[in-house]
Amino acid sequence: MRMITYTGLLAVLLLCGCRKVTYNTISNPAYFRFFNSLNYSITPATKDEPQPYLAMVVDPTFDANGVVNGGAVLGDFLDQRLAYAPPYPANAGNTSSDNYEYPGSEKVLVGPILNGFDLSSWAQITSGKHRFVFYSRPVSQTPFFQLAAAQRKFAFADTTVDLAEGEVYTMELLQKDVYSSPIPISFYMRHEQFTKLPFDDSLCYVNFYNLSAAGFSAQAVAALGTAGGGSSIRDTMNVFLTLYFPDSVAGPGSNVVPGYQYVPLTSVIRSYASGVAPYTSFPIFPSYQGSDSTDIHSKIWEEFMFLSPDYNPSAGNFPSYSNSQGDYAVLACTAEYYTKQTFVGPPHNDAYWSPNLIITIPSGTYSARSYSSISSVEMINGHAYVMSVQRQYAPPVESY
Amino acid sequence: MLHTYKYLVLLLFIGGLGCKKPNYQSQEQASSTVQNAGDYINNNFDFTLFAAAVKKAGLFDTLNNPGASYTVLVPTNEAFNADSILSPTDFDKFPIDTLRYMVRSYILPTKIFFSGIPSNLDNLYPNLNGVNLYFSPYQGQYQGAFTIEGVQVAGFENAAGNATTYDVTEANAVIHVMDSVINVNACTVQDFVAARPDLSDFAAALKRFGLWDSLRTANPLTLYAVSNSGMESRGLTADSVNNLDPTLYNPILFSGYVQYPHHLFTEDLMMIGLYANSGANAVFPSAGGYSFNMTGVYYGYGCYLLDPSGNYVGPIFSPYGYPETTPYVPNGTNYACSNGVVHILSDLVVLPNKVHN
Repeated sequence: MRMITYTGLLAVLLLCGCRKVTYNTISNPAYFRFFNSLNYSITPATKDEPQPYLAMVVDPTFDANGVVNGGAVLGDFLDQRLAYAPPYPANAGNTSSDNYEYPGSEKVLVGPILNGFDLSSWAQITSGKHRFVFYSRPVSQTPFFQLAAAQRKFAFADTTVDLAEGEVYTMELLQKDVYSSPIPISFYMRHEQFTKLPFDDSLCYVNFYNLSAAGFSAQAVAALGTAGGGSSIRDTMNVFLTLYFPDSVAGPGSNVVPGYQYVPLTSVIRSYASGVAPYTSFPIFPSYQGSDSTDIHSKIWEEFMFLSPDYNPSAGNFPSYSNSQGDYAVLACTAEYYTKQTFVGPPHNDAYWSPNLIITIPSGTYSARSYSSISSVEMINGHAYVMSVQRQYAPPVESY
Repeated sequence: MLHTYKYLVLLLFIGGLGCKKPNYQSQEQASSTVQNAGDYINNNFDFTLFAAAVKKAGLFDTLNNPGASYTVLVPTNEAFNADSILSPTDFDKFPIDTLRYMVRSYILPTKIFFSGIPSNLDNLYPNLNGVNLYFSPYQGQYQGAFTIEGVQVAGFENAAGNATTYDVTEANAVIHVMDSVINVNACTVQDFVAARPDLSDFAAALKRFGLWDSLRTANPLTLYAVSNSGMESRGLTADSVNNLDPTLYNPILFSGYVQYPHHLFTEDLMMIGLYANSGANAVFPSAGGYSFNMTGVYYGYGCYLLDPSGNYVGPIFSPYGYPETTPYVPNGTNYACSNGVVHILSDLVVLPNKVHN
């Protein structure tokens, strides 16, 4: 009798532990990622422009007064993007309501590893036609649909796009030109191709875009006059690569990897065309005195120099720093040695900065192992934004 | 057995007597000591002028309505004194409708706490007249600031003594204490200027130089009007302005005073400075390459003009060529109108002979 009681009790306890888990799935998904690239700051001149703080509503619904009151997807609290978008959702655990990209820290279904690429920074959405509307919203912690109706009315952009199954899209809002008021906003979408292209594991890939507003460079040059370079680039620039290996903090940037100084990579032209710019590459384990012959840990770092076509760095031909007027800018990709204003005058001054494009992390039995990435550098109105995509890494190896 | 039941019943009876329905009287008493907004204003020695205005306007009972929620912007007596209102009898000079409109300008029909306002400039909340007021809060790590209609709200230490707060919380309202009065007008900038006898010379000049209509059509607009005394001290009267030939002068002679699309209270420069972490003037590129500059808390409240080469061309003597700010007339700033803001300058920023073709 007692046995039966215990068995019954056990059965009840076991049943209590039962739980039905419903997994959310999205059938036939496409993958998209959104950046708020509106980087104008508050000045007396732009104070009356709409706040560049966004709510993105996909397939919105409207009430009887025409005010948005719902939608299939809401990307709320979208602040201006950060200079570096890492290859994984680094802000996923962020408790702040601010979100620097979509999906970013939103808890939504994200992409899988597709053809060896980690798409965890791209949100899933059912493929097909979708209407995207981007609203300016007040900087507060009130969710968008709980705001007063008057605060849900200003739409920056309203567009319908057709997203194909399994394809990867990067979307942005951009300032169209600097001449008009209110500031004209343009929706930009790039149909990414990296999941379909063949890449070599021993090379790091990068492509370049200039998505600046029309006239930004001219205006910056006019405003700055003869003051320094680096704050804007002209509409047509050549890009040169220099690779460095570690040296002293006191004099960084003097140890050039042999054969990798001022290597012409590509040219970048200001354009909102939605095509993918060609990828350029460099080896992650180039040979230099003291380099790691085991190809485990690469210590090099990269410097991309933007020069107007008038200049040839190999011939020592640089613009005057005191009057570069958009002819010159530098992007240094290193966490260790390079800080802005370490140097005075070209070829080393006024760097944009990003972490190294070569990703070095603990892996397996190695405390530091270097992997290549696919990156996009976007020059937008005096800022350089780097979006890095991770290749699939070797699985971790247990060792005790 | 019977005894046991008797005792049990007795016990139940006694237990029943011990029952008590608490009504938490002490809590009710505690909350009832918090006043309503009307009583708070009426009982505060710093707000006697505003209290008088509220009573004259017949809004005292409204502010004591326990079922309502208000935000009340309360100017201190000093604020009214600066606006030439020195005693409660001074409100008798106002027609009652005007007074009621003025007092209703200071009352909003919801509770708006400082911390509940979005962290950006120009959050609009309608007052009892249905006119939107501009709320601009800034909550920094070390410093806070709060302006309403371009007027600073007085901050004070919170009860715990560890932060600045801008809210006085009463039973039915949030009160923000204002260091200056606010000027909220339902009319357009054009109507405002037309109704001011002390701006008649400037109005004539705008008409003569083809800028008058923009005071009605432009939105948002910031107008830097020049007072009659300022105009006349430079020999410009309504008559003499009408004798000027606009074709002989660079348009900057008067166009710099009319700036759109911009909506700038004087303290907006301070707020922008806090948000952008810089203390900048408002620089308006204007006709003929000139730049019209509005300065604020960092460089003195007023305006000056620079020529296309960046040289100061104002009427104030400047031995080293540094820009000299033409100041506003005292209490002549932040007149909010339906399509913009008006500030009144005490002098011109450029004399006609400097921009003669």
